Amino acid sequence: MDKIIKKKDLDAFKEKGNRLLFADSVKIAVQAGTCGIASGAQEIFDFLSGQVSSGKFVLSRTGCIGLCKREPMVNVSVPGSVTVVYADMTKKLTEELLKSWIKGETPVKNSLMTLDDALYANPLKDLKLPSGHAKYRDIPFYKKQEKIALRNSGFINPHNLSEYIARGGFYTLFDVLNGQDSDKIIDEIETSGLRGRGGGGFPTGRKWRSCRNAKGDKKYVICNADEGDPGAYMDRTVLEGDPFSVIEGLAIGGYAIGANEGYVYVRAEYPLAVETLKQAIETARNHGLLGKNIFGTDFSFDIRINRGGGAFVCGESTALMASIEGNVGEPRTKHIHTVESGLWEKPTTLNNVETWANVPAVVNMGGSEFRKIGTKGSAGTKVFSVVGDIVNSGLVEVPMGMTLKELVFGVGGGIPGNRKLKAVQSGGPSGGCIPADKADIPIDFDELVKVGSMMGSGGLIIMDEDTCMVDVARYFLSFLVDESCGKCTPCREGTYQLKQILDRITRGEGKPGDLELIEEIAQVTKDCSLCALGKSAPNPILSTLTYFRDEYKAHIEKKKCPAGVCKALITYTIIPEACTACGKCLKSCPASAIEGGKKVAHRIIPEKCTKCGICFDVCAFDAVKKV
Amino acid sequence: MTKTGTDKKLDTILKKYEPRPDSLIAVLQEVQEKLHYLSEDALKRVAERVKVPLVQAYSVATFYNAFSLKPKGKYIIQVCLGTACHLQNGNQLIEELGSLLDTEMGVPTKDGLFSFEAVRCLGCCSLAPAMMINGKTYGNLTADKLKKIIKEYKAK
Amino acid sequence: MENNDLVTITIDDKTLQVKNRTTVLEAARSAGITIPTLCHHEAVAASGACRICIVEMSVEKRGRTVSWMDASCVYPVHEGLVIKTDTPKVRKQRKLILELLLSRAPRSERLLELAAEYGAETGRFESVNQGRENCILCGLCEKVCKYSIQANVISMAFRGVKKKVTAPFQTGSSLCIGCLACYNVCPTGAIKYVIEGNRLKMPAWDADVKMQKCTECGALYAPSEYIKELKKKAPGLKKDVLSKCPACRRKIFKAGTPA
Ligand SMILES: Cc1cc2nc3c(=O)[nH]c(=O)nc-3n(C[C@H](O)[C@H](O)[C@H](O)COP(=O)(O)O)c2cc1C
Ligand code: SF4
Ligand code: SF4
Ligand code: FES
Ligand code: FES
Repeated sequence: MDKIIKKKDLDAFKEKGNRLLFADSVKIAVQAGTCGIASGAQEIFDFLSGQVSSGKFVLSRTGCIGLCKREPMVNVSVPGSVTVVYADMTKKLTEELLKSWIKGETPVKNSLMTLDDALYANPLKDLKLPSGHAKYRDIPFYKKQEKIALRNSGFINPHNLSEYIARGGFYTLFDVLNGQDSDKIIDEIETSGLRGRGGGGFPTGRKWRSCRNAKGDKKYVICNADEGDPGAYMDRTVLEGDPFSVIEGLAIGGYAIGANEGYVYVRAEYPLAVETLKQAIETARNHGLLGKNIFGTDFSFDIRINRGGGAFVCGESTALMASIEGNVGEPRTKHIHTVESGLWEKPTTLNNVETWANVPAVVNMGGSEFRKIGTKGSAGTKVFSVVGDIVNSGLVEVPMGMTLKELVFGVGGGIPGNRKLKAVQSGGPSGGCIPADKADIPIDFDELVKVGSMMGSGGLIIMDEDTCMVDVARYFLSFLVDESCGKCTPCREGTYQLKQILDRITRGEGKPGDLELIEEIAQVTKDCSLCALGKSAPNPILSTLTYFRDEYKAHIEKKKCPAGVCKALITYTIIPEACTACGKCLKSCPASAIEGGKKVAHRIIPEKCTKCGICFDVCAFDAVKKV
Repeated sequence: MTKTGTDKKLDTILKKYEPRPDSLIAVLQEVQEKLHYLSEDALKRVAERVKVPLVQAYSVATFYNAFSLKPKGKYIIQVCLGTACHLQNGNQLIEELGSLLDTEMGVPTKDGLFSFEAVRCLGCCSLAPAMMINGKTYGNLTADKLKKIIKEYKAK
Repeated sequence: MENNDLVTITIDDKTLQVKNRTTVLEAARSAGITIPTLCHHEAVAASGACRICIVEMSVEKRGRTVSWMDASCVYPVHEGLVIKTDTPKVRKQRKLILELLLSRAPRSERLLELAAEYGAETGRFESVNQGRENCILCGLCEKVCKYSIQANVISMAFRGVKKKVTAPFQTGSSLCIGCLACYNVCPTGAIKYVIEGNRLKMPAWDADVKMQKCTECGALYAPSEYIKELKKKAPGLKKDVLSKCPACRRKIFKAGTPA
């Protein structure tokens, strides 16, 4: 296979990539990330594969462009025109629209928008804007997004190296290896103000510098792709949509700190991400972009993939390293820093996927340019997965400093069904719930901590008024009980006892003094646990106690769940006056707990009712009440 | 002595990996995938191959969720109970599966075809509630959709 | 700064100089200050698991005092560190840690002793009993067996609240040499052994090993496998040392004619 050694080799790939990206024929690219496939993208792709032999179009695939709610999505470009993105596609619609596409037409049916933004511009010539379609920046979801980490996802074919190179990829690594001093790269990263995107927000440049200065014959770089926070999938999308950016980032980092080996630790629940990355690494290796003497320089670098085993704690850096070494994922105390003694006791730099994907972009644009984006303390952009009770659930990348409110109501399109926002949960199991009345805080590492939460890796769970905050706290606690490694007492026993108390409260068996006891255990767990899992485990419970204490009290004192979520505390009844005896509920009840007859108002038999709520959902006359 | 099919499968897997302690997890993963569980014998042979004491292999095999010392079904249904799926009532899917397959969480069906378990987030949160069957993800699930999917697998 | 350099620290208002990066626990002990420990033992590397040895620490940073709590048995000292080992906060946290541990090991003497000292109550928490009674999962038995004796009989299995120490698949019976190192390091007395006939049994690990008879007096004095290990590990030992019980050994050595 042709090796890429000189700049002209890169140029040749770039030219080829541009020809693929902006084809001379009709081109259809199916967005086939995990979320796309789960919505039916594979079916569409298979159908198109069957048609491609007609020679009337070329078929490609790409990653997710963010608006997962509207998937499956298909990118269609006809020669000379800007790409059109079609949303909510089905095989049938594809079949129908294909007839127009192959004639060079792009009908507006199911069109979401055109990719007319500068980000997706054809560098060689101006393209025509097909009429009738919404423009990229017309869509509220995309209007205020600024993409750095997601610059290529949903646009390029993640398996195709030349398309990545056409987007400027690997030029940065080329420049770095040809003539840049490793100190200068670290300077650039430091100037940029880039902070780790994996949760803690540690300054990346400072981490790299300590690792570079650490003594050691061998050093390692690691990409943390364990993405354990439930409700977060930024890293999956980057790996599935733009794996070469992570590879290039790791190589730049390796060069800067003096490492020749890199590891990517990916969670096992992401089979497609693992596969995509594996192929990309192989491709890069085949073209000499990984391996010995990259670009003919004396820098050699290669990457291995390790799959996780389903343990959240392995996202913690020392546990992750133990896991790569073949051990159980127990964290160790970090008084000896991993930058000095990490993997196999060698100096190791570990960063998150999104951090690594930022690296080539930061080095390319220069640290001071990057710093201009975002806030003073938090430079750049951040990718969030905005999920839960939100209209545009999906993946967004916005400049730091945008307010939560803007993110939820502007980008996210607000809460479905015109219900009210109750809280935003950020930071996963280590984070907290930010109540609606604090939603005007700017997104920034330090601001989020001030309100009792944290940035975390970027999962934002939007909760409407029907959410029970005690149940939310109980959910996170039960997650942490399952995931605590069990090495240290406060976390192992503390989270367990906290969960037992919350279980009782949600069952209606809360006692006076419970809240004080919770606070007592929470304090010990926070102060005395060994690693950050335990230290942050009480956050979900403490933040909900701060902002929603009355809700806890209602559960304990009145034995009521105000949001109507905790099963033990609610009862369903049928209001006889409202019941039309239509019999729908009776038929749907899986527990046969409803009795009634023709023209006889129906009744729920309390002893049999399992409180599944199906009758409540199916009644067309609002006759079923939840109290 | 003639080798059973399982033994042969195990041999093939063991040969693929370098005999080093850091291969342990990767070997166990492949054994789990191909043989659906880690038997006492398999665990002993893996430990021997990658040069770790059996106790270490046992610690690892019981620490990580991905491993199981008891057989799992041919189709492993992983129901998501991540935050987004929890809020969209992912729990109901678990109950549904229990009655649909007439078994409990973690216990394979009598025909050995299915077993189901809970996982925390499949990275498809915008399609909550979600689940994965042998690596294939399904989203926006309802009781009806679930029934249909299970039927398809039964017919395979 | 190198590890042999001295740093100045303050412990409970005493100022002292100690070698850089010794642990707070070592420093405190050298100053005659007692800090309770459970999972710490000189024979193995400290893991910082039980957290009973937590202390309050602080440093001056840019004119501000930054303070935190950490486990003294693993925390390495550095210049200017101020340590408080017995503040109300420390006592309060230790009390709760003890209560949490008691929910697992309610009858451990050592724990009850500490509980009395710190005013810890039993029964405030739901009892947790996953396997071995009185085990607090400190990990010492696993570590001596793995690293000191290298017999690899037992290890931690499962995780979180379900964690336990175990000998997998009944292999204890064939691997255990009966050295009793685990029994000796266990802080809570969770490991028991009995001698029945000429066998030493540790039910917890399914261990059942033969005891050796003294060639002089016929008394059972040590497990046979253990003696074999000794022979391997210390080839210079005299035959009399290996084959005779301690009492007979002493007699022979006194007479000055060991073989
Ligand atoms: C319990 C726990 C789980 C974590 N999980 C992850 C994870 O899944 N992905 C991640 O990037 N960082 C995770 N982290 C943070 C890492 O320990 C580490 O700080 C981070 O990966 C460093 O990279 P960054 O500086 O680029 O953010 C976790 C931390 C803890 C304590
Ligand atoms: S805090 Fe929790 S996860 Fe961390 S070491 Fe302790 S038990 Fe393990
Ligand atoms: S048995 Fe004793 S030594 Fe072993 S972990 Fe339990 S408490 Fe520690
Ligand atoms: S929470 Fe279920 S897929 Fe993420
Ligand atoms: S003695 Fe220090 S943590 Fe156990």
